[in-house]
Amino acid sequence: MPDYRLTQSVPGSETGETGFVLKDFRLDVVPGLALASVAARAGKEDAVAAQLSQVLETELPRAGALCRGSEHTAFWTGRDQWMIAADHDTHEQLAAELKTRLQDTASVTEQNDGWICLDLSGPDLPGVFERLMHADTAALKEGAALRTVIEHIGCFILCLETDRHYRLFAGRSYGRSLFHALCEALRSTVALRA
Amino acid sequence: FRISFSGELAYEIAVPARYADSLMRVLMDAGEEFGATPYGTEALGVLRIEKGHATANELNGQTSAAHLGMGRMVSQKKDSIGTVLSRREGLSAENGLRLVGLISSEKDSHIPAGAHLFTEGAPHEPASDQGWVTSACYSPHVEKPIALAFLERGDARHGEEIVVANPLEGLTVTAQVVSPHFVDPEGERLRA
Repeated sequence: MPDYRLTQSVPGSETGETGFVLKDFRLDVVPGLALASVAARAGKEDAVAAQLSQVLETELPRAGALCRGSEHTAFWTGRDQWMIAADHDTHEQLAAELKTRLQDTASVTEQNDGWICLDLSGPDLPGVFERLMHADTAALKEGAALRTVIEHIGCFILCLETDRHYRLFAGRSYGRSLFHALCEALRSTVALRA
Repeated sequence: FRISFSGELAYEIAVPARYADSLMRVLMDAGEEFGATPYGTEALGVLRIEKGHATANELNGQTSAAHLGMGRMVSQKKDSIGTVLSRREGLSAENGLRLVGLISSEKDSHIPAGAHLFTEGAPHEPASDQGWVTSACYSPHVEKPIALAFLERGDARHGEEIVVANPLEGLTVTAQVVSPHFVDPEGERLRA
């Protein structure tokens, strides 16, 4: 019997690309994230906030915002709900770690490998995003996180540096479509700015 | 771990999502000498209808254990989720709806899912409605169109010929009322 070993297929590998570069723009697939969603249970919101603040080393993000600790990033996804991200290699069991800490104060769901994560960097990115979404991306400053739709694909968009660096999350099975949509938006932006 | 949606002896293997594609390829490779064949939800649907496994079509929010022939599995003394509602008169009547199987009388006459059931000669109207078809398919095992349905007093009517009517499209077929478990009713293959 052959000695079988399973190999990894990380989100984004379906695109067949690791990134796309065009002029000053750069689109990268970010493969190595552990993800967990957290929803505080009724009446336990303060307890959850206290515990997660310790994990994040800062206050939980308010609606429409993200926060970054030394090992974790969190962004608001709904009332008393957040997505927590960390490096997959060092926090593969992120959901289990959070559940151990939060016990029955929150519902924690592992989201590893269920989302594609794309980093977009370059000049005046709101000008690119206005072709893709109806959200007011010019108002999306560093530290903001919002939920929107790009070509019928539900996405989270996080602003890591105002105007210049954004991180997008979408369901993994939409990875190829989202990657293509962003590449096409970059091509038309470069063509119009030429 | 062992679990079966198809009614056949089956296992479910869980791995972190990033290994799913690799696992499928390994299983297909290791299974080649045994004729391993991937199959999808259409085939799975046929298998579970043949087995009589109730799923979403049958579990409509008003389905009680009694409707599925499992009334004796629910304690009448202890409380459980849904027990109070299930005891409502409309859901617990002795002569209420019961899950049955249907086999089309004609090999080429499919049974329309959603069609309603009537006795021979009864007008096709709500007052004489005896139940409805929940799931339907062509069965390779029975070699005829089959269906699962809810029929009033269905557990006492096996062998009866029933009229299956779809007035919206003007279709009427006849079918024999049988046990909803067309294949392996004793579960011998499932528990092999």
